[in-house]
Amino acid sequence: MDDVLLKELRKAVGRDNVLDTTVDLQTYEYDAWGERSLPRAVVFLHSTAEVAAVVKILVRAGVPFVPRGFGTGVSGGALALDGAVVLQLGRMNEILEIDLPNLCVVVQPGVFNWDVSMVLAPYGYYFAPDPASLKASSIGGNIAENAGGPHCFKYGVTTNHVLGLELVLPDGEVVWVGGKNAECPGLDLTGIFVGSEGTLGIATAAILRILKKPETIRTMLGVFASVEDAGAVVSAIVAAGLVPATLEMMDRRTIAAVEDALACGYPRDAGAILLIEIDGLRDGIDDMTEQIAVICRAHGALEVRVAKDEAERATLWRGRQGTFPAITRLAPNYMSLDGTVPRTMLPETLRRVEALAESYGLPVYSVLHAGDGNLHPCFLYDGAKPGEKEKAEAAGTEVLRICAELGGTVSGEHGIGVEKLAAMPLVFSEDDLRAQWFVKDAFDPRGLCNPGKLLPAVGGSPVAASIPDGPGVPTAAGALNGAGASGGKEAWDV
Amino acid sequence: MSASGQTASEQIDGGRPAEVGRATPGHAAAPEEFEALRDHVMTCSKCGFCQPSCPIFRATGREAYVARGKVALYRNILEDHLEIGPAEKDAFSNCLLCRACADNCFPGIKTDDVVVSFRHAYGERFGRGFLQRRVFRSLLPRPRLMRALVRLVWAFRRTGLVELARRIGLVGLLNPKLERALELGAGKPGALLTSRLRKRRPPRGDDQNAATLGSVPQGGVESGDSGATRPTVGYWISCGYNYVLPEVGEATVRVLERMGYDVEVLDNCCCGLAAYGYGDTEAVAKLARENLRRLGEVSRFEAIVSECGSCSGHLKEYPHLLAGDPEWSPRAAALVERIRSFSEFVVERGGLPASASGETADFAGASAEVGATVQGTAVVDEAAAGIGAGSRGTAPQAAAPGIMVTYHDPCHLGRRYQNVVDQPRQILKSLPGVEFREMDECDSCCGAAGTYGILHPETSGAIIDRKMGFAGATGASVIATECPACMMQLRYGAQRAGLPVSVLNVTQLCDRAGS
Repeated sequence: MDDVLLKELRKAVGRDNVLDTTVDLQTYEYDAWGERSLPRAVVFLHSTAEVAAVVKILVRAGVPFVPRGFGTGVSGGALALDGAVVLQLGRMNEILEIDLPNLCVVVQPGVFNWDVSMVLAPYGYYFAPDPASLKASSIGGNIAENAGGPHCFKYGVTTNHVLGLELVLPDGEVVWVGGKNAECPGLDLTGIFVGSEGTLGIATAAILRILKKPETIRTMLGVFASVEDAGAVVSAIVAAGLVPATLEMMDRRTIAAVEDALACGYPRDAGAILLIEIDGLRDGIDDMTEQIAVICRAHGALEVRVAKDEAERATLWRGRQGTFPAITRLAPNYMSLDGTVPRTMLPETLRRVEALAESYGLPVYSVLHAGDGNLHPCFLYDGAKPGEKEKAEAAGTEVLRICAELGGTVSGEHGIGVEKLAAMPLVFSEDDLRAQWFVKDAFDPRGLCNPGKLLPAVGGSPVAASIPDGPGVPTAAGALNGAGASGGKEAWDV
Repeated sequence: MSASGQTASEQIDGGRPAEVGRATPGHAAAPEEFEALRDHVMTCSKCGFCQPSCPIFRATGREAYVARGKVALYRNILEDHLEIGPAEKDAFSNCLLCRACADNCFPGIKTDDVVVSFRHAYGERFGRGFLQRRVFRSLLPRPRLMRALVRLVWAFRRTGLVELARRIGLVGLLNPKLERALELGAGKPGALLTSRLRKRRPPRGDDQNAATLGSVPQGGVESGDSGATRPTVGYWISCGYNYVLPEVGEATVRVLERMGYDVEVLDNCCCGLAAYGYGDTEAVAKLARENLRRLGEVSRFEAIVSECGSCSGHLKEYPHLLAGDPEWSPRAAALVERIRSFSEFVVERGGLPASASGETADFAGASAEVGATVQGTAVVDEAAAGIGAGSRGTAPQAAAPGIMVTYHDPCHLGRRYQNVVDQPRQILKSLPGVEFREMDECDSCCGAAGTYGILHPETSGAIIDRKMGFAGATGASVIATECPACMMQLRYGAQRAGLPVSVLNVTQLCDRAGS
């Protein structure tokens, strides 16, 4: 890499905080998606001021950059394309403020999701979004990917829990969007940023909504002969106005795989199971449990089991949490998908996915956040056999096409990243995509912030090229300085 | 699908700058021994779930230092994208072998095997230092020579030359890591544990001792001077206690004797864990065979007991280490049947004998002993709440107040190696006057890890600082553990944090409770 640039970076953040040896770069050439692309350098950042300073240096040099937390994303969002410099934010891991009266915490992006809830536990509060990676993923990464999880059916995904953000914009400007206020007037810039996969800037602090731990929790297992029956129950529960905390589904093959690996008491001969959890006040929880049990039986449940104690509850969840390892241990490689359909379409979707898998000759295992209509079919294959990987990829694309055809979309919670770029046109027209490019361009006119992610190129794009970048032209950063004031904090520059 | 849409692979290939990265053809090939782990490392899915539990990652945030990063590098070496060299060595030297990475690992990657394999291969390709070779292969297998050398070092230190060199900064100038080594070995035991134990009075016919021993352990062993033959346990000499903390070994032997056993002090050499950590598997095998030879027929023992979790843990690995050796592996298996960690043994035998002194235990004096043995921590230890007060040379207080104790799980003793977890807690909770309180992350590595603390003082310091935060939060005045390396590191950590706690071995607390 350019010696002058390296020197400048080292001057800004200290010698030891810039890595450029082959060994170090090779440990930042992947994220949990698994594909590889070497970064140009890795810079460890410790403060907002450092992030801003480094971004300015890189913008001046015209070098792209990619923010990274703990690299647990599964769609390649933290991959360094185009020789980007990795901005490593994991060391910005302070809990800045616990504000119980305002039901929020202020944290830096490098805090583990799980640690937020751990810090809040003594007060009886927690942070609701619970991606499977919650112990290992960063809040910054959760925000970038708008992460979800089982409990997001009732409580909403990450974006519903982010009140405000301190951002370093792609030109190095520091601004606040949103704030502790219940309502922030003007465009919902916080909402635009959450889920932008690191393409609109870098969050350096976040105000997160926190929740009081529920007074009581009830966990049930519904056993069904088919995914159709289970799917009908999901729709019926929601239609009855009941809002469980989770509505998780597993198909026959997955149940067997989980039982083989973890023996947690799921009925092997079932066609599908539903893991239903209700939480809330003690009063009324028995009624709700009964109502759900009645609905299950009305749709032909073979069995409805209610966990008697914490140990039984833990056993039921152990199976769900271990689903992924239980499946992936069965073959050298896997392709896990993240399509979403309207929940009423789940049985139809699963039927078609099953038929598809059969025609491709690849075993498929499905586990679903059924309440959200979010399905994770997982194809197993052996990448060492010629043509298998291509076959799995083709099957994956077909699954997303099915989801799109049934009125759904191509990602529920894993993000687009690089992995699903090619699937975006399944749900967005060129005009749709061009409109999104205009937003991207308003924030990042030079296209240096996490390039090659989220938005596929469309005719004549990147739009960036078509917008003049010079004196007198208002940039995103300029426009946002005003917004910063409404966030309740002074925008500051370095 | 958009006509101009790029596929993922086009993006990625296009994104790799040509000038950085892959080793060019013609570079040294991957070590052959890496092949044995090829299938294993390929199962890593790069999920990154190893990160939060890795103490080094918590301290540094560096991917090369966490399991996923090291496994990725290992794979790259196997695939000829990288070759073994000093930069790679740095990554693989940053591992505590604590196995915490496996806590949430779906495929169950054995990072310790991967790391030791690299370290061995590195040693094979680039040679091992003269000192390393001499110590592991010639010195450690000869305990008498080792003891003589340690005495020589002590004598040299008594001249004051070392201290002088340290003060004028010569040590730091030579090698900053030496300073940390000197701090660790700063204790003045006066005499080796082996010499002290040779001089001890035999328990039988010792009236005072017999009086305090009154009760019979639930295990059914007759104690005292009834004339019945007492069963024998072998006491394993751990280097850490022998050279640095001999008072711990003395306490252990007293407790075992009070339990009604004859204690035979073994003439063992180093268990070999240190050499294993360096990947010197030849030295490891040599030490294992030498120990088996020295121990002889182990069936004469009820058990072989060690209050060093690292030693007992490594001894239990002997069959694995000597697998394929028809002569020695059966003897290793016989040894494993006898090996017990101290806590494991005590609980297996029904617990400690009831203390003759009844309800109150005399923990006073514990701190004075500790303070005297480890220079630099004396002030801290004497200030230990609930213990230090009134213990300075005065008679023990009549009714010693209860003390709050927390426990640190040594890696090689805890759930990731021997799974001896409940036993020490059970023992501590049974001691009169002890209130037990668990600390957060009680089983995360303290950062000592053989010579890691010396070679990587900064990271090791950050690791122990985090631990001390959790220990301090319990309000405990004693941190108990069952490993000499942990004890030294915890004392160093307490000193860094200015935390008024005593660090004691479980056996020392048992000893105090029963005296």
